[in-house]
Amino acid sequence: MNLDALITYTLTSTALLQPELLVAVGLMLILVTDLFLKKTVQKWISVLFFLVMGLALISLSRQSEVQAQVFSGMISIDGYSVFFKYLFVVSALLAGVMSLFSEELNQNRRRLGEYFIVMTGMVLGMMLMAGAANLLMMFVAIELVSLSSYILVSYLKDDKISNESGVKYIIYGSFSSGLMIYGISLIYGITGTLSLSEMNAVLQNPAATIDPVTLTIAVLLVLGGLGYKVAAAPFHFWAPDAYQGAPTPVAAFLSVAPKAAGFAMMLRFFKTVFFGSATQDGYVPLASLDWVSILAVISVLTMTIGNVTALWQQNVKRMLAYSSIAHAGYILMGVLLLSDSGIAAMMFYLAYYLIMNLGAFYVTMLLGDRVQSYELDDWRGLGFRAPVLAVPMVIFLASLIGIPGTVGFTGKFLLFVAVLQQGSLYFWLALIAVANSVVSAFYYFKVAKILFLKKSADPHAEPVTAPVPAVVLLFVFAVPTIVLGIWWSPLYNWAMASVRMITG
Amino acid sequence: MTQETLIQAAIAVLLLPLVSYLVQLAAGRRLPRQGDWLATGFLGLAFVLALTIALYFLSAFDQTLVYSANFQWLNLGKDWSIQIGLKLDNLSAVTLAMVTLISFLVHLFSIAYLHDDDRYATYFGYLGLFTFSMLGIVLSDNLFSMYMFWELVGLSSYLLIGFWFHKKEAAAASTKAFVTNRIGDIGMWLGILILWSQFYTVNLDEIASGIQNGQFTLSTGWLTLGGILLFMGAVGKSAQFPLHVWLPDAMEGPTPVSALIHAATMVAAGVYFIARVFIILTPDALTVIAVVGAFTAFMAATMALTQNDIKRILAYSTVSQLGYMIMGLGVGAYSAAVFHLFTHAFFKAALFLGSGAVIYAMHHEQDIREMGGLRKKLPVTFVTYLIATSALAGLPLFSGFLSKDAIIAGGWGWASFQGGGWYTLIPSLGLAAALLTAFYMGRQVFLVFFGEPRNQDKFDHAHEVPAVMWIPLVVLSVLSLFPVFSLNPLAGDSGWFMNLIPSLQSVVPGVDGAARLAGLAELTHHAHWTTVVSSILMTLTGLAIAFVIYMKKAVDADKLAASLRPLYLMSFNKWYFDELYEVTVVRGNIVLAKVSAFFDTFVIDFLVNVTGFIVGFFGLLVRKFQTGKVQSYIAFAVIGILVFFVLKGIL
Amino acid sequence: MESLTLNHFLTLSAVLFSLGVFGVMTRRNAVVVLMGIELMLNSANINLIAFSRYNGNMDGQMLAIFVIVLAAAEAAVALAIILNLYSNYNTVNLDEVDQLKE
Repeated sequence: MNLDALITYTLTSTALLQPELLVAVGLMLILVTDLFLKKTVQKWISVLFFLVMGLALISLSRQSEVQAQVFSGMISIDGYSVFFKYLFVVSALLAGVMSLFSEELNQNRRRLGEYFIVMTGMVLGMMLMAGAANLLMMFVAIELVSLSSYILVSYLKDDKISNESGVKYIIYGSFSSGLMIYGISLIYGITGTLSLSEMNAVLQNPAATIDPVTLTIAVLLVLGGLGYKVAAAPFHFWAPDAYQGAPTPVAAFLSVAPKAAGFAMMLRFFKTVFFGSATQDGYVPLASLDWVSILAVISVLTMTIGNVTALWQQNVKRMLAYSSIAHAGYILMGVLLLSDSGIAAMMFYLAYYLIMNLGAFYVTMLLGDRVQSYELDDWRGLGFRAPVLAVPMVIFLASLIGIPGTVGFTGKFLLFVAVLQQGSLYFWLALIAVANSVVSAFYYFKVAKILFLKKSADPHAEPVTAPVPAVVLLFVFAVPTIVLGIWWSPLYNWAMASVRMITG
Repeated sequence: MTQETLIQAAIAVLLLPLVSYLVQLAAGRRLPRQGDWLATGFLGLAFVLALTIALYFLSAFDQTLVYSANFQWLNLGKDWSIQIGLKLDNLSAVTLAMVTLISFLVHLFSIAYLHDDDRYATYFGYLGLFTFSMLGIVLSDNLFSMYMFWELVGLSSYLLIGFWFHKKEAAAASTKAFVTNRIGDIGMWLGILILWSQFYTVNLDEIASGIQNGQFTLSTGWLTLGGILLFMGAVGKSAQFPLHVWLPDAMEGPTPVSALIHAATMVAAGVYFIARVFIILTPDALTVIAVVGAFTAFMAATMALTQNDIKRILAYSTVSQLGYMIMGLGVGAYSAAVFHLFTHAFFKAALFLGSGAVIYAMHHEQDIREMGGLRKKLPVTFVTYLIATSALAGLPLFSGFLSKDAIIAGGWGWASFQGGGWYTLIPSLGLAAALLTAFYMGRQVFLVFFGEPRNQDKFDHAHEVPAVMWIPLVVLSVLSLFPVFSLNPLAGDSGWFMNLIPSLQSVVPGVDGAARLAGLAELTHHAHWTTVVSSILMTLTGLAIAFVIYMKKAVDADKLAASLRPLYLMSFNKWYFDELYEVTVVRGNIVLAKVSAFFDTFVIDFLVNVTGFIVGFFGLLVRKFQTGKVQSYIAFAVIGILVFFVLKGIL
Repeated sequence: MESLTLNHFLTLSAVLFSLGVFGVMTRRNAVVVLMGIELMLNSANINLIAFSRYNGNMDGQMLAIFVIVLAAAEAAVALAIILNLYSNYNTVNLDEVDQLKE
């Protein structure tokens, strides 16, 4: 096309990318401000960060009715990606506020400027991940997110544990991205295009000769990369170490947002490329690659390994890491369903998972900072010394298990219903998931038991308090966990309405 | 007022007591005076709102006026959704006002009665919780939420009866109440399930129209069974035979609690529930209900004759009066039964609170043999108690007469409608119970308020109760006078109540509802004057006998009791029901429990522990893979991918 | 000698990829592991460019350029972290960095 049309097209595309652009500009703004700000007024960086995130939310709210592909099919803006972008920005906001209350990040006159810069970059990367409709975009976005998270995990430079987890994380992560790009290159080679929708056309075209073996290898390699991002077995080994060593707000953020982004991308990838036509009950997969069974195996492995290993953990952060792995297993069940209700259930799950997991990590952070330890042995009887903190923790734990009355139950229930609606073959999957939920009750409630039913070693220990703003944030997490458990329809309806994904 | 405002007001009335409960629970101890006036205020506000709603319905005076609102609570797919909502019609509106009024008055009364108690704040919280649950039952338009609130009422009554749980008897009594109620609730739940299996809805109106349209595909026997099962819930909650044993023991609770729960509200819930499901009950089910009610009325009245505890007499009286209401529903005198629910609520609450005043004045003495001549010391209490007793006994010019008379007349009408014969036993039992009622209430009044004080020491220390205690008494006794309900002292059916809430027509297939209704009304009307005369006769006879024995002392009570010793023992020992249940139900249950415990420990626990061990073992196994060395992580990832290759047939 | 076909390139990149994976899995020194990762990324690059030529469109080369940039960024961050590792542990031997386990 000629130059004029090209410019017009670029400009319209840019206009549709407002949230991402806002975040990108905000990133640079924070970067520059950090350079010029004196050390004494470091705190204002966080204000700038919140401002940028707030603006991003506002511009997202104006995108609810948009359905378009921009920049020649690189990014799709549809209800699906907008839903996830909301999740990312909200979780970044909440994690940012959490970071302000974290002692590990705020001691030793540590500079937090780069922290927020990198976090903004991560949000940008995740937003791009949610919308990526082209393998190139996917790779670049995933790398942006990964690099940011390597930096965030190793943020505490003088802490040996943080450093070790950062090293393991980056080495594993780089390896996975190596696998993934190799797989992408093979897919490119076979289908001749990087665009997801064009790939679908090629795969559906009976005239094209696609070697199924190569395609399978390529997709499995890509799956290796995607599985790493969401911490699915057998690509989950980095997660416990990374979460344990990272500063707790970072671990919280990592367990929620990039995971959601990874799932968003995974689902979009599989659905756009490997689905045939849409029928009444769901979508028909192309015969060329039966990825549903692979995902089912991965899902079962993930939830089992996550739950079963968590049983023996003595470190709360490590236990929460394994719990995240287990939840990724449940969510994977939503991914492999070929139905709108399955996708909606998955999206709903990720939304409330955000709240309850961030909440659980938040209380862990508050308690851990005050007791100077994350080992369960040091937490005995802490519940009575810090009731305001420990009671919401029990609520979060109950929600993670899936106890009725909390949103965790509703989400799991909706997910299982979606699974069972797909037919009797999926019955075993649901059964294993339920059994896993039961197993998870043990280690979640072990924490509650230690908090409340054990006497602390020092009978004269003083009560533990947290500043009032910290407690207010705690209730921001705790109240929706219960309220959504009883009145979940607004969130669920939003998820159902956002299932539209552009495939054409 | 628009429909919306009305519904919102109703929801506010429902939630205000819950708020009171939560506030008391969370902050009660730290509030000034531990929040008693706050809780009372909440209930007062609720009453004002409820009264406004009730007045609205009264001014509209439309028998068919109904407002409802509901929302979908649970949706499990096309057939299985549960709608929960509330229904505001004449019945629920006036019941709302009644419950909130009595709860408010009880709150007021409790301020003085329990002021020294160390769980004062919690008490008011529990009162709020109870009121909330009761209002939930009143407002529900569907069986499901009604059942939820039903259970919640059971829980609240457990908490309130066992309020002084350090006392062994109180703890035992609350457990007995709860367990007995549960037995009834099982039947109720089965009844709900039968209806659900046919209609896949719990909404009462939908079920009724479903039955009317002949969608109940099982035989009428099943419908009767369903009705009887539903009735079992009322049997438990309203302490009818054979589940009446908990109510007398429940007197271990504080007296205001007895006034609230066992006079006016909780026990009335059973009657209210049957009123709500009335139209779907078959004539056979109704006959069973009538028999149970009449029998209970008579049986409990005999037990009240010999009791010496001031509250126990009232407790058995309550069981007996509930029997009247149940009987009223069974014979189709729906309007009369509901009417009696109302009048009974007021005069029984007045009696209980009055007895509470007496107990308070006598420094927690409850045995009537220690009392006497209290009319001089407690004038206000005396007058109010007298009014309320007259209402209970059924003297004309009082509200109780109107309602009781209407029930008995309905009973005679029903008996002739059914063709006479053994059916006439039902109203006859009612009349007999009327005589006994007048006797035992007369006995109580004469022994407590008249004559010479039997315990001079306690008598000297007695004094009239404070205002917060006698104001509720005055209010309630005024509400027990006839002009409140009807300007004709001898007939209730010209009064506003029975015209606002008329008897309902059955929708059961195979029964001509309209004809039945008209026929019953006709025959009841015929029986009206005979009933008036005979019931006044019964009442006066009973009072006369009491007067002769206890005032004139013409016949020695003890000698009479000795000569009729077997009957006396039968009455005094409550027909030996407790002993019977102890030997059969309780012991049998304990044996069953022991067997289950054995099975649980050695079979189930064993299996659970084995499962836990296996899972834990796998955990230890899998743990070993997390070696801490990043390169092994990478290796496992590669191995994983290779395994997938194998599974896909590539390798 | 026969002319270079696509298969030659693909074989080369497959070999390089395997060598890279081998290097990552077996070498003790963290920096050498990074070299292995670079090898993996570059083998993908060869793939992309070869396929771009074979498929006739520029997408592959475009992606290859991005991959080069990203590889560089990753190497930078990784080296920074490994440098920090050295200052904390005084070694870059990955086998000795295993405090967090099980």
